[in-house]
Amino acid sequence: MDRRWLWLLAAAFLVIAAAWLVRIPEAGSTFARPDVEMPRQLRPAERERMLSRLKPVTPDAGPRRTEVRDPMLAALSAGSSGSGVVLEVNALRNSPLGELLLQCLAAREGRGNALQALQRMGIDPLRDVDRLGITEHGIVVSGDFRRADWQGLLGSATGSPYGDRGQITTVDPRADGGASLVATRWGDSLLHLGESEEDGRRVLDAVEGRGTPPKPLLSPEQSYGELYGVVSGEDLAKTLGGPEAWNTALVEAASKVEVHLDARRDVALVADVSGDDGRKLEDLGKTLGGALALARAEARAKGDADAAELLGFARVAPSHGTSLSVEVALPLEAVAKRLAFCRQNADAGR
Amino acid sequence: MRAIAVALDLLREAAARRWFLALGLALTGILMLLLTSLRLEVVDGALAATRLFGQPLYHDIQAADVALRPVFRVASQIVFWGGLCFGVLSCADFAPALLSPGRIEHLLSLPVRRWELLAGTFLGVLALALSGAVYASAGLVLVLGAKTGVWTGWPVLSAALAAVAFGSIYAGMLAVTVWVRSAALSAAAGASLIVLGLLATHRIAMLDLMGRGVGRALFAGLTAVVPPLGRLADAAGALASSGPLAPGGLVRLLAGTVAFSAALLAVAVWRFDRRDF
Repeated sequence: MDRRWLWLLAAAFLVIAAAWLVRIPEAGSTFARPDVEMPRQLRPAERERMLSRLKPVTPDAGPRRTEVRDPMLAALSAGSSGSGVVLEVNALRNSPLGELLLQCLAAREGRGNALQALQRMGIDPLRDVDRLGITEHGIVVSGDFRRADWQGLLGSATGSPYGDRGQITTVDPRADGGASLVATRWGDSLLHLGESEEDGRRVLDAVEGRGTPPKPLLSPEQSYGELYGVVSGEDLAKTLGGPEAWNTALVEAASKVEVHLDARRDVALVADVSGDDGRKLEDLGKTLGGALALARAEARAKGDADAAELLGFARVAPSHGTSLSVEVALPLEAVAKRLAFCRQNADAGR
Repeated sequence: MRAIAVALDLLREAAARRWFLALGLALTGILMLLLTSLRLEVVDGALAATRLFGQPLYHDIQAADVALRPVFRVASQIVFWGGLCFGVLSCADFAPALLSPGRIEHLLSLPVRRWELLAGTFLGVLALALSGAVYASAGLVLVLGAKTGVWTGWPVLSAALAAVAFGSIYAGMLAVTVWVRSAALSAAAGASLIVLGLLATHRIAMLDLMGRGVGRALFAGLTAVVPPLGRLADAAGALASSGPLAPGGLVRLLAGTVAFSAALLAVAVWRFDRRDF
């Protein structure tokens, strides 16, 4: 080789050495934003899962008896709520994120508390519960409750029968004067916990296909991810609890937010915000994007590398007409890092 | 040895220039001004009173060495950034002069290898930068020491960091000059490297604000190799003011800066070897 090329080789080697020496370890560059596939539609396994959950309506449903429906989604739609979220408990439990959360739960509560109390009543939340849905009209739990001790759980083994397979049980009010609880069971696979018998009857009518079908809150095609749901603009504003003027502006810009979270490995969250006024929605997207960038820069300036890193995992996709997307892609390693204290607590408790 | 002879030759040339005479006079003038106008004797007076009366007179009292820390920190920053800017402007035409027609042919006819010519020029400029920085900081230490009784050598050492940083800038200027013999371009390259060094200091924060794409990749690549001058300046400030400093981190930073300078010098030598004069 020409001796002169040795200078160039030496330069290349020195540049690499320089980069290594001045950059490693470099604070704040521990995790890159992962290239995870965002949950945007049903994947093959989720489509199979969705199809397996569709059940025919009961034979006395008249002309609609050929229809099929997902009882869980039908129950959630019963109260005509504007918002509802479904947690795929079983899928989440079997994901790496679920493992981490369970470790946290065990460290915080101790496995001997809530989980074991339910297990003694014949329901193992980690095995028997399939999904958990929440709306303003109550909580819906689906799964396999054949071994459930209803006497122990609800104070009565049977309730007032309603419809084909429904039973409604009013649980005694709590001693401290709390609202009464009405438990509505549909066979051994669905349990609704609400505040009135009317709620219970509406749920059973919706599940068994009686009367005018309610407007679906979520369609089976929307049941992808380990968590999914719809939140109305009003409910979102109420949840965020900001100033009145801010809430009004938010409701005017965003009429609905559809959320899907994929936790098969890395955690990917998509929140599709839709609204009627494209210009306001665009402004909302720019506001969110700007707020994220500013918060990230501020966290960096204050030396809060953890917050800056977390904020770096979120981004706002530009508005397309009447919808925009907020995406968060969180590497599992980053989640584990933040939940590491649970493992330490659990280990210390042993 | 022949490289050192070239360096000494450059120093002789620098001594003949008014730029460096002006710098020497300006630094001396500033130091004399400080010597005659600073009234720092009062700083340690309270401590002396405490010793005399046996109990503290004021609870918010500060020892002179603690009170002087900000002064040393600011002085180190002035030496660092001021030295870089002055160095870029005043040394920009050394290499173009070396390569000027007539002179380069004469130098190449001497028993000096080409790489020794470049290394000598670089070492000469580095010695110039080092002597200027050390003169300013040592003068300040002497003035403040005489006034307060606080004697410290750290500000002088921090001035050496400024010289190392300038070495990486001048290596870039030299490399550009062997391609295009222009003092203006050489100064522009030095200024660009200072800006890049500043950007490299805050590259993570800047990358956070950039979307993925060619621009971000280019910025990430460029700022990954350029020494983070802001971190070097911070280290110099911490060193001068006895602030907290991670010794391992500083060694790595210095080693990286030296490696970067050496890389640019190697590129310059490669190009210089291939040029016909």
